[in-house]
Amino acid sequence: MRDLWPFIALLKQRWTSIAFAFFFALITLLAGIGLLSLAGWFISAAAFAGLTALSGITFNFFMPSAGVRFFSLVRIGGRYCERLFSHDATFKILTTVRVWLYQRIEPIAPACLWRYRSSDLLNRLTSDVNSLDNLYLRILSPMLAAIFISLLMLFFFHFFSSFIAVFVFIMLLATAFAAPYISQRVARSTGEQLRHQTNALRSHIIDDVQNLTEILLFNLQQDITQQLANMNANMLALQLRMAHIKGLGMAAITLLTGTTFMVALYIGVNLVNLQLLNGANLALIVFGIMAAYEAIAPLPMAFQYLGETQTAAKRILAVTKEIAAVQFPESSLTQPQSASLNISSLNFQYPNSDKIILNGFNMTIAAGEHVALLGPNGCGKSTLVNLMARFWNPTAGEMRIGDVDITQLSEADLRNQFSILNQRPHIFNDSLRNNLLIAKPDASDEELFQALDTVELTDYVNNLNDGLDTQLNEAGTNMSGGQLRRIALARTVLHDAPIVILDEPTEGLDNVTSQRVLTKLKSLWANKTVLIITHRQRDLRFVERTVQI
Amino acid sequence: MLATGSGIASGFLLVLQASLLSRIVYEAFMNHQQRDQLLHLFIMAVIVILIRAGLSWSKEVCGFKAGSAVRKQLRQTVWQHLLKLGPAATQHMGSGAVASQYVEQIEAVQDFYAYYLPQMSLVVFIPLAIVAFVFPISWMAGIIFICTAPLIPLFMALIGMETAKLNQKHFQTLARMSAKFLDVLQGISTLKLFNRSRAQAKVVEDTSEQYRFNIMKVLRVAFMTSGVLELFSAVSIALTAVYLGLSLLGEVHIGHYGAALTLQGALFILLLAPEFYLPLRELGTHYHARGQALGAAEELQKILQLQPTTHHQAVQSPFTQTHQVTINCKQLNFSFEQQRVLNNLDFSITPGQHVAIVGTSGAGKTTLLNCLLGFLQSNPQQLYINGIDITDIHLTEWQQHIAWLGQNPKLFPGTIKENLLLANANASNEQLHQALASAHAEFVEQLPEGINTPVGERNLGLSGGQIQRICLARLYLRDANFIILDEPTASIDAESENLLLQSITEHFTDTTLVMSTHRINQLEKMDTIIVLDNGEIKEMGNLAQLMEQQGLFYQMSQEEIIHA
Repeated sequence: MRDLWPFIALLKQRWTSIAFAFFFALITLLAGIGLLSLAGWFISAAAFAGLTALSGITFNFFMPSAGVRFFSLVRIGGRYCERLFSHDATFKILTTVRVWLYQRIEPIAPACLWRYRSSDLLNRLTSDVNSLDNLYLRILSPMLAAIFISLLMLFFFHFFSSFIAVFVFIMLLATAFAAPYISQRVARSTGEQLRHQTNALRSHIIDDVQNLTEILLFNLQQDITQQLANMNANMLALQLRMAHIKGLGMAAITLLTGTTFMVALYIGVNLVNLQLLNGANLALIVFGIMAAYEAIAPLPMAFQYLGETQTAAKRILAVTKEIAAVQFPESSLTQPQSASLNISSLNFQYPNSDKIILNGFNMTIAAGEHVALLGPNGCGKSTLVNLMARFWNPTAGEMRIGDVDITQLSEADLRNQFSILNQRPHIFNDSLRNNLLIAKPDASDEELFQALDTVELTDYVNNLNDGLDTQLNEAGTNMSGGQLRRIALARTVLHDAPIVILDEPTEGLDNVTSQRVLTKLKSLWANKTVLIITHRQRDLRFVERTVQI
Repeated sequence: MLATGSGIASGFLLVLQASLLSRIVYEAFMNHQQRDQLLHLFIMAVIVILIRAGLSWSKEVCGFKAGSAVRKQLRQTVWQHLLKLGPAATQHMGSGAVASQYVEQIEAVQDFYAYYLPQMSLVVFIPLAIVAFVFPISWMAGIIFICTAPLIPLFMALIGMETAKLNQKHFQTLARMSAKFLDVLQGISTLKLFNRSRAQAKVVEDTSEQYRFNIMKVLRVAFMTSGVLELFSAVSIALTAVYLGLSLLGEVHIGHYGAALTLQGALFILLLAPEFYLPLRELGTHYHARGQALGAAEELQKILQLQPTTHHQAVQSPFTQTHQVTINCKQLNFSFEQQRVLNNLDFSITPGQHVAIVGTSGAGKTTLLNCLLGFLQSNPQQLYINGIDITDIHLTEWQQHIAWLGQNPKLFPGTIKENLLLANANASNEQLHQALASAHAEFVEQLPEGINTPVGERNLGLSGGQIQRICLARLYLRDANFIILDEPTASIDAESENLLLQSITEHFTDTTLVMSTHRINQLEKMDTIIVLDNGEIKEMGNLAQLMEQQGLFYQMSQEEIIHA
């Protein structure tokens, strides 16, 4: 449960919605219990009264029958409101969790997200957030309701027999909590093995599909088929064990429920014999128990969700506990007076890696100079961009703008010094306009079109049906890599900072377009300091000198 | 079937249990029976409960077994089909997608067989059984139940449609919300560069709330449907209770065949009233299993409906001429999904010749290699191996003469030695070490366990370049007459690329070799370079000739990466 506390604490922000949802959940349950108990009492009392014609006439059947109808209508209304409010609360909670998680991740990103990038971990993180919706809807709410109902039955039954009341109370709690908890505990190690076995099967089939050529050329079909069959059999054997555990859990619940009925009845019959209990109330007790068990029915599922949700919570917390790789001063200590760039004895290696990426790298670019940075793959060119953007701190050495060390600049001031096109700029699943406005939120359409013109996209955008409102998603448009690259370039144009750094600006562009775009950029940025990181011969025509890394 | 049987038996016992409970209350209350006189009823009830507990266990296990048998069969079918389809098709699908179909989608079928199908029978059977027991006691109560009974199929359809629609809406909204969130997380470094990352928290909140607003509009209406179902069950219980009460009071005299209704009968009916609707409600919770299984079936169809492209002719000439391999392509065409991928390719490869196939991705390089390997079937009279039409050749025999190296090879679980022996089971240790040395894989000798080092799943501990070298050593061990290399250096650095290409050309001086690549430096050693573009041969010749022509190849070389 410890891993869930931060999230339970978040629920406080939405306590009114949750209180409403829970209120209606209780109303519904109470009405259900009222309906069955009253009905049971009513027909028993009626049967007794009906024995003598006289009491049959004086028996007030109006009140109980009205009560039965009242409870049934309340139950319907309550159920509707409960479903509505609980879903509303759930979606509100998800919003809260997302904002909370985003605010935690934002300061430590992108360094902490880097290693999530290549794999599907980031994807899993998002689905982990989704699975937190179970926390209220399927875990807390049924558990609280079960406790509440058990207490209510304790109170309600003690008017008839405190012995029955305590017994039913204990049995309800045992069925609601102990039985699912125990089967959850028993299933835990099998569940763990099953997860391993499933992952093993998954990686095996991935390898097999990737190795299919070798399998066919080396004639390994039979061996691999046998291996897959064995792994599948192992998995099914574990799942069978899980089914047995689950089946036994269900059997335990049936047994506990039945025992509660029989023991309560056994005591109750004796009390009736001794004239300590009215016979009509015996029926009430039986139906009361029946309704209470209906109310705790979702508990076994709640425990199942509890396990999943805890795992999700643990993974989310692991991310948020990471420490920011870089600290920015609240406000800048001084402001740079010129746009020159000076890098001296820069060393860098990633944490937990012994590969030295940069070793004593030096580079000076005068204000207004246009320079290309060359070097083979993996020599640290893109890392250099990340260091200048202060996504990481160098292990040693310093970088200066004008004469100011960049660590003395606040985050906002540093961002305003640089206009950076990084290696993999992200295109958001949003309109073209919003994708551009990221670089300059207050830009007018005119400014946007000027930027698009610089990157040779005006004709293309004018031919789109929705123009700037075109959605840039994977499915919606067939934009090429070169077009997306130019949209990212347009952003660096809009951002309008004194120093421009472009990592592979013409990737995916054909020769003609890249020449045109670079020519326009060269004149547009004539007075800016520009550093182009490139692999391509053709880009070198637009710089005054080159630097090797 | 067994699961359904357990469910039905359990239903009967439930009726019996209700009848015992009502009898006990009746005897104690109305007939003032002592507890000891009722002991046999208590004992019977306990036995019924024990059997019901056993049945709920067996229902679970039997349901599981039904589902697991189906899954086992499905996995086998899918894998056998993948083997028939061959790598040409699976490369197209992607290993991740195939794995998700083989593992997750087939898992998704389980609940349909384990829960949904048995529940479908129970939904019909249990209410009918209850009505059958209620009728002899009071036809009026039976009528109240029966009035709602014809509505059961209607309810089933309603619940089905509603749950499906609801799940879909809910799922879509959730998916869109999380896609948006994922998008922001993925773009966080871009946002940072433009100093927009902090402001984005507001965007996250607004979109999330917008989705909530939209889905709640849908839900408000959707919950009405299930409200109606609740209404029926609650009103029917209330109506039954009021009717029973009034009958017992003597206010109402119809519905129980003239004889007085006893408390026992009344309690029995009232106990069964909620059970009448229970299977229906449970069906709602299992309904998503149906949607899941349908979705999975659709996904699996994507694999199973693909037809293998390779031929399995009855008569195939054995392929025995081995020492030298000659390839002749005569107007080779290949189409995939009505699109021409290879267009009238005309070329020959003489014995011992080394040929590079160059082109951007999508130019048709891999398709051509797959035709040569026999993984894709070419048209008759277009591709000849040693003068024999490839469509007449026994493919497995032809493939025994080929050695192949891909761009991202993986090792099989086992030791390095076992992996090497796959190529040649009879190789001596000396041969293994020699092959490793020629493939520049000396690092293997420095490992603590040498060639007996186990390489586990996911090739733990070895870099991509190291694995590539071990696979190259394996290539050398295979006594092949035709070498196919599919972008062998695409995923390694320039230095290793040089080493490997040099080692390959030296080792296979007299063997016919075809290599596809999209890197075009370092092709001096190749005898012929074929430049493919959009499935057509644009240029052909050696490096010097192609550079002189100043055509497509020259242009590509200008865009090529600068090797400092």
